[in-house]
Parts: sequence; structure tokens; C-alpha cells
Amino acid sequence: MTAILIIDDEISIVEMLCAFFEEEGWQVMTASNGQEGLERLASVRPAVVVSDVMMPVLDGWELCRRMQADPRYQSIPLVLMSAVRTMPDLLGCRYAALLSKPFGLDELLQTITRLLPPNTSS
Amino acid sequence: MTETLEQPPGLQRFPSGIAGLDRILGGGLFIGGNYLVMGPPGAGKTILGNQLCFHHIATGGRAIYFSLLAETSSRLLTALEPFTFYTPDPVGDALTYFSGYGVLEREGLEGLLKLIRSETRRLRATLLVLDGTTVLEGVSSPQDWMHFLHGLYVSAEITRCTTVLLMQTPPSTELLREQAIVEGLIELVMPMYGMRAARELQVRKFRGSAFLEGRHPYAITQAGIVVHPRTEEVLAAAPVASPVMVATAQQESKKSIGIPRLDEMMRGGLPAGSITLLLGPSGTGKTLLGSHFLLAGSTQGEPGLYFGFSETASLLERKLARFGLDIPRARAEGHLEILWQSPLQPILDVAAERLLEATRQRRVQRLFIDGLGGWQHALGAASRLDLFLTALVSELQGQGVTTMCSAELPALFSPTVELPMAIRGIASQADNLLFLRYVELESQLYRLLSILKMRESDYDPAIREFRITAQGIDVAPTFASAQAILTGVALPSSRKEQIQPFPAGAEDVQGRQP
Repeated sequence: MTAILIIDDEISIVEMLCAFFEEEGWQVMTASNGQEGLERLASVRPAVVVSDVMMPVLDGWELCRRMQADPRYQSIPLVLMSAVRTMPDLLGCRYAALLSKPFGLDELLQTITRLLPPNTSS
Repeated sequence: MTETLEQPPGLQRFPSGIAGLDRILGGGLFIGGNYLVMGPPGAGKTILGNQLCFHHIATGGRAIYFSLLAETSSRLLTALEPFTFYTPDPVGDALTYFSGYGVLEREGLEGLLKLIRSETRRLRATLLVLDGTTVLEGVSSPQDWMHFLHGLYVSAEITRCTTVLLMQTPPSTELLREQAIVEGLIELVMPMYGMRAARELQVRKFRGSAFLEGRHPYAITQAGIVVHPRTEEVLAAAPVASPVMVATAQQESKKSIGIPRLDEMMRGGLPAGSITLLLGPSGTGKTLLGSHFLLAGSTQGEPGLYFGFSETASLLERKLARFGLDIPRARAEGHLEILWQSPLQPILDVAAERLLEATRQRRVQRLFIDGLGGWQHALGAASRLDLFLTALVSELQGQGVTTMCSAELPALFSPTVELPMAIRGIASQADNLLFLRYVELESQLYRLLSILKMRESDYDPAIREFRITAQGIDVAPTFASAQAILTGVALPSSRKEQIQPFPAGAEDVQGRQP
């Protein structure tokens, strides 16, 4: 079973995404901010991380930077979801994809599928 | 106004960005203060909170918008896009949106407070808006809730981060616990006037400063919340000058009305800076008389303003051209401005702001407000129009504007003046009263004019007949014709022939020649 880590401070979005990916056959883990997300990554290895950008404690941009800076997480695809219309200078941050909110679940699933290695399945 | 308080030296303000609200508050919110904004659903609390944030960051501040509502931040931002205060650039940088609901659910109020404190410090926020606070009260004990508020306010003071809580008005009218500990309480209400809904804002408490009390209308526009402080309250708080002093300074000067025989009756015209109420039923010639007054000033180069509710500028020009009054010329020369105000404008103060802005900007010397009844359809007019008009004319007196206001009387043929309730205050305040009326005699209509009152000036109290001619208003040279009309008694033919009030050719273009 493929694992996904969902990070968002908006509980309604986390719950909705959880339900969706569980129905799709994924193993779902959650965190409410970037710091919590990094703590989860220390103990689990999801196939993909889906994270909000504007979050307390540690935001999505910083999460992206830290994942890129840590060899353990560099290869994990990261999908950032953002209501922010403008993007800050990310320096060397090579996130996998950025989805502007609002977006459809199909769009999210297609983006994730595109990022995953071909033989990965839920 | 509350009693004037000296501002403590340590308190510094920042403008909310809502000009009317800042005026009510005497300059804006206090840095590090804590405020509660209450209102029913749909009152505009969220718009107000966001407007505060966007203005705050536009002036160099940093803001956090913590939402406890079900609405996601992306949905909220999408809803804000149509507003002119919204700009996407600072979102996620100087302005950050967080959801606090998850933390609240997992860690309770203590966890939420801890998160707010740490994020305020981390992001160096100078403004914190907490939306959906009603949720908090519902999920906590009164003691926890008060502990949370205390903690929030202490944090606000220490970090100098101004805190604004947005909360749904509780159903109970009892004083809330939180009202006692906040430094400022702003309530949004949506009262009904008949079938129409209004929006009104009231500052119930604002520690450390005087403020404009009572309810003030507001609107939700594309620019966001626009508050219109009640004109009478604003003017009472800051009158431009003592009307008495202005009148004293100008009492020697007279302003010609531009109708020679009426000027004679007034011993030269209206006293400069005075207020004149022009009373009469519909069609008696009030608009025409007021326009004579404005054009007489135009020929002297005096800036004039026509402020009316019935005719637009083009309609007025066409109408008055029939009577030989050349409005386009006066406008082209820059001496006369015509402002049409829709009588459907729901907020009295919007029209008052337009009027006063125009008089101040152009340093208007002559003003004709055509139809005081035009104000009466505004929301809440029934309870405040009298005081509103009183304050307005006091302001105009203070500015030294010679003002004429027309008011329509309902009875077409009444020899007595029965003032509508809404203008009784202004009638007693007016320096001069002119009364136009119809008289019917032997199947003919006649127009009569009389001066009921001229404060500070001698005048001819006789009733005069007047006609509306192709050259405007023509007043009879003596009271003889009016006397004949009013008695309604047939005069001997020899006596009747002696009465020649009008020169040949002075045909009444609005009625038959008597």
C-alpha cells in the first residue's frame, strides 16, 4: 500500500483528503504544520508529501527547503497546495509541483500519479 | 460625544484604513490594544477584519489572520478578490492566513493560545485578527474562555500586536463577560426600516479616547466596509465656527436674489451667511426662485451650488431655459455647480458628505438645496432628519454660506403654513422664511409671495402677487393685486382698473393671464 503524508493546518481539508485517498487505497498519514510533518518523516517514508503552504510553526516553503536540504527526503516528491497567488523566491527549492487552491481532487491525483515512479500503485 | 479625555502618552494609534471608522474612533485603533467586533451573520465582520489586515500591511505592518471558521483560507481569499483593498502579493508573506480549528480540536484553548503567541512572535505580527471567536466560547468553560482572553490580551500588550476578535453577536442582550475586559467593542447591527435593511455600526466602548457615540450607517462596497459617521454627531463634535460670529461679521452685506422687487421687499436681498427656508406647494416656483438667487450670485462671480433631488443638470437647464435663466452659461463660467442627488440614496450622510465636500472645495457662497423632502426617504430619516438638517444648516452657517432651502408643503391651496414634522427644527432655525402659495379666484389660479420672517433685517411684510414669465419670476410692484385676490371681493370697475400690478407683456407662462 502506497503511503501519503498530508500536511495542512485546516482540519477540514485534511479530513477531506484523508477520506479521498483512503478510498483510493492509500495509506494516509497527517500533520498540521511543516514541523509536525518533518517529525513524521523521521519515522515513516511516504511515497509523496502533499502540503499546504501557509501554516503555523513551519510553512510549506520552509518544509520544501528542509526536505531539499536533507538527503533522506530529497527524493520524496512534494506537492504544495497554496492559496497564495504569488510565489516567493525559493532559491534552490525544487518542489515537485505546486497546485493553486482551489483545485479538484482529480487534478491532485493526476499530479501525484505523474510524480510517482511508473510502477508505483495504490 | 463622551467627555473629552486626554490621550495617555504611552498610547499610539494606527489608522484602521476605514476613514469613517477612524473618524468615529478619533484617529484609529491603539497599538497593542484588544478589540472585539460583534455582529450577526452577513454583517461584514470578516470583510472588516481582512480590510484591517490589508491596510495594516500596506502601511508597513505585519498581520496574521487566524480563522476558526469552516471556510478555508483559499475560499476566503477567492471571496476577497473583488474588493479593491485586496492584493495577492503580500499573502503568505506580510499577511498570513492560518486555521486554528484543528489546534483547538486537538489541544483546546490552551493549545490555541500557545500557538497564537508563538506565531505572533515568529512572524513579528503587529496585527492579529481572530475570526469565528464564537466557536471558542461554545467549546470552553467560562473560566477557560476568560483565561484565554486574558492571555491573549496580555500577549497583545507585551508584543505590541493589536488584537481584533471577530464574533457573532450572542442572542442574549445581556452584557457579555468579554465586553468587560476588552479595550474596545464595536458592534455591527442590521436593523429593519419597514421592508428595508440597514447596516449600522456602533462603538460601545473605546478605552483611552473619546469617540462618536450612537449608531453610524455603513455600507459594504467594492472598497470594502465604508462607514459614514452620523453627520449631526460629526458636526457637533467639530463645528467649523460659531454661526453667530459669522452672522455678525457678515450682517451688513446683502445678497441679491436677482428679482428686483423681491430684493426691494428684503431691503436689498438676503443677509449674507443667512439660512432661508422657501416654503410652498408643488409648482409654485420654488426651484425657479432659488435658481434666480444662484444666477444673481454668478453675475457677481460668487461660487454657487445647486443641490437637488429631482432634476439632473441637463433637465434643470432645459426647464429653466424656458424662463430665460441661462444655467449653462453660469456653469461654463465656473460660477455654478449642479449636484443631483438620488432621493433613493439610503444613507443620509452620504448625501451630506457630498454636499459639504462641494461647499468646502469650491468655497461656495450661495447654496440652493432644492427640496428638503428629498432626504426623507433615507433609512432612519424619520427619527433623525430634524436633527440632521439642523446640524447641516448650522455647519453651512458656520462656513458663511448664504443658503436657501426649498420645502414642499402638501396642501395646494391652504392660506396657512403647516410644516412637515421633519422640517420644523430647521424652520425655527432659519433666519428667513419665504412663503409661496396658490390662490384660486373665479376659476383662475394666482401665485402669491410673502416674507414671513427676516431675522436681522427689515422687510416688507406685504403679500405680493407674482407671475412666472419667459424672463423668470416677476413680482408685482405693490400689494394691491394680492389684496384684490385675497379678499375675493369684486371691486368697483373703476378701482379695479387702477390696479395695474404688472407691466404689459408680463404673461404668466405657467398659468392663464388673469
